[in-house]
Amino acid sequence: MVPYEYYVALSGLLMVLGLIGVIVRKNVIAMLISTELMLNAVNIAFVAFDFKLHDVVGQVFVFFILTIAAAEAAVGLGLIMAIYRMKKDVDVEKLTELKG
Amino acid sequence: MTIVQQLVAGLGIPNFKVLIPEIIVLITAILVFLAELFIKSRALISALTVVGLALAAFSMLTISEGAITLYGLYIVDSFSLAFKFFLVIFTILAIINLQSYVESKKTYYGEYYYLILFTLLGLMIIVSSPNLISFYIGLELSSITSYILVGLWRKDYRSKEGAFKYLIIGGAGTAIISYAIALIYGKTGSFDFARIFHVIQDNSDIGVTAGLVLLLVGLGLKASAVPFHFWTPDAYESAPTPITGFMASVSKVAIFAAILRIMVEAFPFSNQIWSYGWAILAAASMILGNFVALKQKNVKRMLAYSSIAHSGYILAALASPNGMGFTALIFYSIVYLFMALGGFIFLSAFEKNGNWTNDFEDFKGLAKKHPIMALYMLIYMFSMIGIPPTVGFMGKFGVFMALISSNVWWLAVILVITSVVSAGYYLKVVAYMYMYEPVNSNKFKLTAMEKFTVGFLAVLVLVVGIYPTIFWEISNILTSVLIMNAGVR
Amino acid sequence: MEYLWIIPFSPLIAFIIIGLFGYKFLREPLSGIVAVIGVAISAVASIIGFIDVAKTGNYYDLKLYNWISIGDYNVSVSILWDPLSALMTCVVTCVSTFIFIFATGYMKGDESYPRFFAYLSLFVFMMLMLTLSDNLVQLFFGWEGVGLASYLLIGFWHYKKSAANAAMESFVVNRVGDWLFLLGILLAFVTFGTLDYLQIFNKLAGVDYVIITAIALLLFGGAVGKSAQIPLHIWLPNAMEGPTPVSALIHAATMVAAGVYMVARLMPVFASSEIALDTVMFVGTMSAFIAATMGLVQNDIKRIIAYSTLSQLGYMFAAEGLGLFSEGMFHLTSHAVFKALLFLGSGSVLIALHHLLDVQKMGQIGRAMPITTGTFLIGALALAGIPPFVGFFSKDPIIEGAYEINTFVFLFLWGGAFLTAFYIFRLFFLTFFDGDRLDPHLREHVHESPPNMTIPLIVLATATVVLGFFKEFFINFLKPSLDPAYMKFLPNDVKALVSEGLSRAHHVHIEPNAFSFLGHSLTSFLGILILATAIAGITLAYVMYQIRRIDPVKIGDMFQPIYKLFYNRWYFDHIYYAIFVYGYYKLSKVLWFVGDKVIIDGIVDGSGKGSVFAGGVLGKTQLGRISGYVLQMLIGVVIFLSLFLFLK
Repeated sequence: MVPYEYYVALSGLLMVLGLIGVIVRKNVIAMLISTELMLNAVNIAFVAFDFKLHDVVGQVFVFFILTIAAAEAAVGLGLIMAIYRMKKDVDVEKLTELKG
Repeated sequence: MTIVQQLVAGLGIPNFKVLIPEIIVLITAILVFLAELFIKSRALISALTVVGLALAAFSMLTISEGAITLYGLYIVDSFSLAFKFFLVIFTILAIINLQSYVESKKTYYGEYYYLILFTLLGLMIIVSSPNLISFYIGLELSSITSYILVGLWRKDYRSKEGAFKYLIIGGAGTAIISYAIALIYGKTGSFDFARIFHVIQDNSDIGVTAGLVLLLVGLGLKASAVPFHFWTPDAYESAPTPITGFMASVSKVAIFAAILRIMVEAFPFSNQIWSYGWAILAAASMILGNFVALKQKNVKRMLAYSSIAHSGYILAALASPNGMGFTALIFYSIVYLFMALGGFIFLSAFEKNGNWTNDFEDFKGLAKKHPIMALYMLIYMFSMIGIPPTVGFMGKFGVFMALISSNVWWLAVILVITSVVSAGYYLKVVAYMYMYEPVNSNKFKLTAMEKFTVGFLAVLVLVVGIYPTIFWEISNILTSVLIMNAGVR
Repeated sequence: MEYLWIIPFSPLIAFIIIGLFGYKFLREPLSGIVAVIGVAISAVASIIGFIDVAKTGNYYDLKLYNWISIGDYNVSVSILWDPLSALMTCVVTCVSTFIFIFATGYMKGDESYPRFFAYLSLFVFMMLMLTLSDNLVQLFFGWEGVGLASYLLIGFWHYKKSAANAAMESFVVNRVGDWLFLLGILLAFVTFGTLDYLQIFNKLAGVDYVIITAIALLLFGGAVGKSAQIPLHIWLPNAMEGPTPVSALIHAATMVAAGVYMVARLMPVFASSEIALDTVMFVGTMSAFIAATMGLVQNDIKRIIAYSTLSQLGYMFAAEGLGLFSEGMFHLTSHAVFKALLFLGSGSVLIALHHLLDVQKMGQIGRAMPITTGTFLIGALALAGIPPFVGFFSKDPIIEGAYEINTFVFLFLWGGAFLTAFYIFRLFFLTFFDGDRLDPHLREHVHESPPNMTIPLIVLATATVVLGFFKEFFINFLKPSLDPAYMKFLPNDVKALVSEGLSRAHHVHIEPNAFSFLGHSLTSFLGILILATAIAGITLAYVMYQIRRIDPVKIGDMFQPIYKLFYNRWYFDHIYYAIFVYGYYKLSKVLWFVGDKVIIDGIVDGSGKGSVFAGGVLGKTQLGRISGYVLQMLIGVVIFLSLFLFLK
């Protein structure tokens, strides 16, 4: 049986991967997917902790996270559509009008 | 007995009486959502929103007894009630100035109203959550609606870009907060503040420390503390100005209240960690916010950086983890509402009369064109610098005294020095208004609502600055409520 | 005694009314009348309170409301009503009343008439907050408030560039003093844990000598700025750019005397430290003498009187430093009356001559303006110290006291007395008599001022004549506040400490009764000497400027270097200009470079560049790009986490 620490470590790894994904990906959609990855990493952590605690409350939290992730993705995609319509581009490198 | 009856008998019925304000806000939001489909009159929708909020504010005054309800997920005490009351009142002040602004920009959407109401509902939830779950839900409800609000500027690319950046960074923040919650849950097995309070009695556990520190990071991100502030200038600059005002004042203050409640009620024994952590974030915010603001050419962006700096001043109070620090934090966050909302509403009225630009250059000679508005702006700027007898001074003074009493000298010194630095850009606005001749002869026209809001808040800034006793007493009482609540449940 | 709250708030209400309705409804002359009524009410109330205190010798400490709590200490708005504050309050309100009445005439036709009276009322309110305060915080509030009002009033005619500059200068110089003052308050709070005078006095005995000295010196630093003593005196002469009633009220009678009042108010603190008293004495003496020399050669009528104000304030400080606190306060009172008279007289002249300031271009207007001339003469005689005018009874005791206590101080004060008599009569002869140098156009229109200007002159002149004979009353009246043996609010150990500090003046005996003092000084050698000095000064002025037996120009040439030194005001302005204006300019350039170029650009570009460097590794990132933002955040998180997890 795999100890729960491994799952937590995996979730941590996924979390960092997600962050790095946000940093290195150039496509805005890929960037959005990376943030979803981070949220899913949290889900793994919750399930792992429930496994350890023999509880279900953490898994309830997972549902909330899933819902929120969906809402966030919907808003994000909407924004990407709007940006694409104006710029005809989804390259992060071009989204730099606001700075300073 | 039916299953429903069994359930009710087992769990008890939630105490809906204390939830009336939230219910009114929710119903208003839904009503506005529906009405917006059928009713063409914009004034009516705006009036409906304001009436709903006024009812909610009024219903709060009728609540005489606090309670914990929704099976331990929701707390109504004087702390949450007081903050909710201020949030609702200041949302009203933001909303009454929205219509004329978006109409003259030709970017009217009915969505503004119910989105703001949902954001407000989220904020009301986070200030009255005794539990990380309800806190998280409230936080996300307010965040996601805020992303949309920032992007709701018709045919304006920058608005979308700002919203997208806000979304990505806010999403990362959400992930960090939920990971922090997971770590804390993993150790304590609960989301309830009181349970966490009882389980975490020492700081030795690395998982809890990591969880708490990540929570600090996530909350700092939402409160735009450096170095997690990157969304703030972009989102604030690109959003419609009354929305910026709403986010900079109402949303932020709710976050401060939530931070205070979580720190005091869930982690009082880890205060060494979090007071030090917030001190570092506060110092970084004060330094970066003020110095970068110096370089801005655009007043709106300057105010965004100034709002980062103010987060620093307010969070600095947490470096003194005792009653004095908490009182200072509550007092400063309440009075910060006056300055921030007043400043941004002024700016929205100002933009409307110009070419939708808000560079320093545009402020030239405002004192000649509209002396009274210039005077109000002067009061706001003085208050943000912290010149007596404005509230800004009293707020900083309270934080300063709290820091001194806890021997956090270095942070107190940074507070004073950065306040002096901040005079550089705030006074620049004043100088442009008073020391130059007007460049054009455009008439400066204001709606009655704008006059009322800006004037009312400016008077409040002065009056409370001269007579802070009432607000100071309120802050004191809320602090004692908070400290007494910690770990009681 | 509850009615005392009327005193400060009546002018405040007047200020609010004029501020709200001044331009819309009241205009001219109603706003002036409202202001006069406001200040007259508080004058009446303060006189009633004064009589009450004079009868009983009690003191009252009223807390009006608690403002804010710092730890255990409640800062409150309060009224401390004892002989000292009663006297000062009466001086402020009574002199203000007459100056307000005069101003209704002086400001006639000015388009900012309501604004002027709003500012004046605000000033009186702030000044009363200062005088009535029972703690250092409220004192500081009033202190800053009068500074603000003075700044607004100096720059009242802001379209005049010189006025705006003078306002700025007064603002900057006063900040120097205020910083010292604030530091003094902070140090006092740290030391005593309270800022109420009475509680501070109670705790004096147990505090280290060095700390008390530091507190007293820092507070005195504030007084030096506010009362325009050397070396922070340069703002006052330039402040004469404001309207003349302002000069009379703020820059002669009341605000500049606030420093003197503050030192007297905190007498036990100052008396506990020899060094502090010596400093007060030395600064006062030097100011008294140097300012008098500067006044000798000026040609601007208002500036001459301004230098005389500096010099007279120096006398008051010298008196306090000598331990003669009651004499100092009496001189303050008498100076407020006769100096207001002199300023209002010069204001009357200015109205007649359409704001011509140069005394060398005046002359022979005495006949056309008999009331102004007569009252001005009385004021000048009082300033010169000629009996039976009040100046004699208040200034002579200081010089005589100095003779017995400190010869060095005596010499300078004595010399100053000669110079004072000379310069004020030089002004008098040049302005009102002497040859015909006046522009013929102006000459035709010279006429006496209207009654609302001459009546205050007459009243003040009468006071100048009469007040001196109440010397004994004033000295006895002040005893419960300034004589440790009579001070009810001091514990015995502090009484001993204070009276030891004042021991330098114990052997001095000054006749309290006015008549016996007059008799004494007309018979003793010292009295005759001082009197003869004053008369010599007047005679010299008469010879030089009226009958022109000695040509002033020749004298000037003869003593060229000294003349130049005096004319250029001992080069104080030049030195300050070189050090502060020019030096500040250089310094600000350096600071700008460091601040703007190095720090700001460094931070902004640096975080940009930093992420460019890291971008080479983790994909191209830059400021404005989300990737850059998140990367920097990640670095922040890593640092933050490692700070707590690994570096604990």
